[in-house]
Amino acid sequence: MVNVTESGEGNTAITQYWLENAGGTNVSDAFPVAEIENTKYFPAYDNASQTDVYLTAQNNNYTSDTYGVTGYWDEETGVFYSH
Amino acid sequence: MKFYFHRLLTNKKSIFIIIIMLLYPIIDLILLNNQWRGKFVPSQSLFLVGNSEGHMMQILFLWFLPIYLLIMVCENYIQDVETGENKILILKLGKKKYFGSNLFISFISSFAVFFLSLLLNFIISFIINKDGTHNPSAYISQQLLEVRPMLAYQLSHPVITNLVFILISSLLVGILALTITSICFIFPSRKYAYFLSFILWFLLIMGSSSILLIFQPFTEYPFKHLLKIILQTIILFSIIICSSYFYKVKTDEI
Repeated sequence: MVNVTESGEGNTAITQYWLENAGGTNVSDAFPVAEIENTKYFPAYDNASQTDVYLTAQNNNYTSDTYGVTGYWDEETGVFYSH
Repeated sequence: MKFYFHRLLTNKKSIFIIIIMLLYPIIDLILLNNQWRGKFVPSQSLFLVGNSEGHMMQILFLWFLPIYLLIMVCENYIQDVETGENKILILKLGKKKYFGSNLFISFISSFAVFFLSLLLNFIISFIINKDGTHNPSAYISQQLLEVRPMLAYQLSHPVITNLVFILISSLLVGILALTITSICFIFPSRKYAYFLSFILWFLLIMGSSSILLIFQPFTEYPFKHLLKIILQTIILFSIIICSSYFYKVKTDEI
């Protein structure tokens, strides 16, 4: 679950978020979130369960722009995806 | 003109750069498919869309674009000045034709190589990721799409959008090559030409009005913003190209 409350790139600007484990391996796909959007829920890979995970982010644009983001995230939401 | 094409295709440095430029988007696709478990749908796995982690290949290719263009074709004039060949060619062809064909060859070769590289990436992506299912843009909420109709329009026509952005960015790279060649006309020394081309390009890719937003499809920026960037870039480039060309043709070199 990711909810961005403030993005330095602008309120409609997209930032990509994904989960990584302690080894830096991606344990979820990357998903787009913008400030004006409500809380969003995304699926993770099966190797993300029963382990410490870290939220990682990058600008979706490959410009040299950098900015900060503020918000909430939670990896144990109890929301299930039927895939 | 034949001489210039022959020169491009027999120069080992140019060939090396052309191969690198063709390889970057392919490496990007390989990285993309290894970084994420979910295989991307073809229209989201292209080089210009930039879904790979860290945007490594985009940075190596697009941020350092002036270097590749300079080595490939734009510094031809500097080489001519070093060997004195420019004087022979100007006497043979005339100034207008000499500088004109230098500009023409740098535009056409940069445009062609960039376009070919992205088209190859387009074809390979559609073959390799044919069975891809992951589409990050499907997670963009209706809330955002309502205030960004341009993004919604692009997402509903993904193939055409990709092709249009490939064409627009290739044209821009061609014009950038013209600009860099013009810088070489005024400063026929590698030290100054490389330095100035780099400063110009970095100023253009920095900030919220970065020219790289023109290269990337499916961004959240409105059409007005993109149009403003493209217009100011083309005006700036045209001023540099025209003033350099007329300065060179009007002043006495020999």
